[in-house]
Amino acid sequence: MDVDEQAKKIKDWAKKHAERRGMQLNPDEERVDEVTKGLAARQEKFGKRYCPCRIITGDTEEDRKIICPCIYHEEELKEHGMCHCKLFSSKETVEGVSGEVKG
Amino acid sequence: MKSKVRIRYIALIAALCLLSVTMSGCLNINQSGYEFKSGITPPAVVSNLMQNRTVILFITQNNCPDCEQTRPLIAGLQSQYNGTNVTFVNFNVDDNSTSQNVAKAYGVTATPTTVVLRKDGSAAIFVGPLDSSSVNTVKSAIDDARGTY
Repeated sequence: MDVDEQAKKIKDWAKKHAERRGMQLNPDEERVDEVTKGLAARQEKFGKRYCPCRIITGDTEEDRKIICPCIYHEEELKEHGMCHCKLFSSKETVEGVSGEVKG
Repeated sequence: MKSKVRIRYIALIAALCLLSVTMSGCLNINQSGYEFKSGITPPAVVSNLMQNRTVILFITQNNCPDCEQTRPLIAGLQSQYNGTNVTFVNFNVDDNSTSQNVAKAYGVTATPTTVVLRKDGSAAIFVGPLDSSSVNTVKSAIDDARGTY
C-alpha cells in the first residue's frame, strides 16, 4: 500500500475515532490531509502511526504514548480545542469556527 | 471552637504562602511572554556556535505540517538579522543523531520548537508553530539575548 492510500485509510479511521469519542476532525481539510500523510509516512518508516509533530525517542514505552491517537489528545482538546497536531478538534471548536464563517 | 478558628487561620496562611510562591514563579516570566531557563548545558555542537554569537535553534522533523508553516517566519526573522551576530540553525531530528541530541538537551518533545540562547546558555523555548504575533515575541527574546553579548 502506498503512502497516499495509507493516508486515506488513516483519515477514515480518524473520522470514526472522532465520532466514537464525541470529537470531530479539524474542519480544515487541507490540514487533516497533511497530518494523515505525515502519519502514513511514519507508519511506513517506523511501523507505527506516530504523531508527526512529536519526536520519537527510541524508547518503545515512551514512544507508545505518541502513537495516534496519542495519550495527550483528549486533554489538549479540553485545554486548546485541538490536539497538538491539529487533527482532532472538540465539537465546541468546530461549532465556533462554523459560527464565525456564518457570521 | 478555638481550635477550628486556629485551623482556618493556619489554612489561610498556607494558602497565602502558596499564592506568594506561585506569584513569584510567575514574575520570572517577563511581560513579553517568554522566560530564559538556566541550568541547561548546551551540547558541543551548540556551544561551538555560541562564540560571541546569539544562536537560534529551529528544531524540526519531516512530515510536520507546522514546521513547514513556521519555516518562512523563521526565514523572515533570519533576514532581519542578516549581517549581525545572530546565527540561525535548523536541526531536523530526522536527519542525524546530532539533531536528536540537541532536541534532547533542551527537553524538546514536539516540533517545531524555536530556542533562543543567551550568552550564559540560558534558553527561551517556544514550542509549536509561530504566527505573526508570536514571531514578534521570539524577536523580543532574540533582542534580549543579543543584549547579553
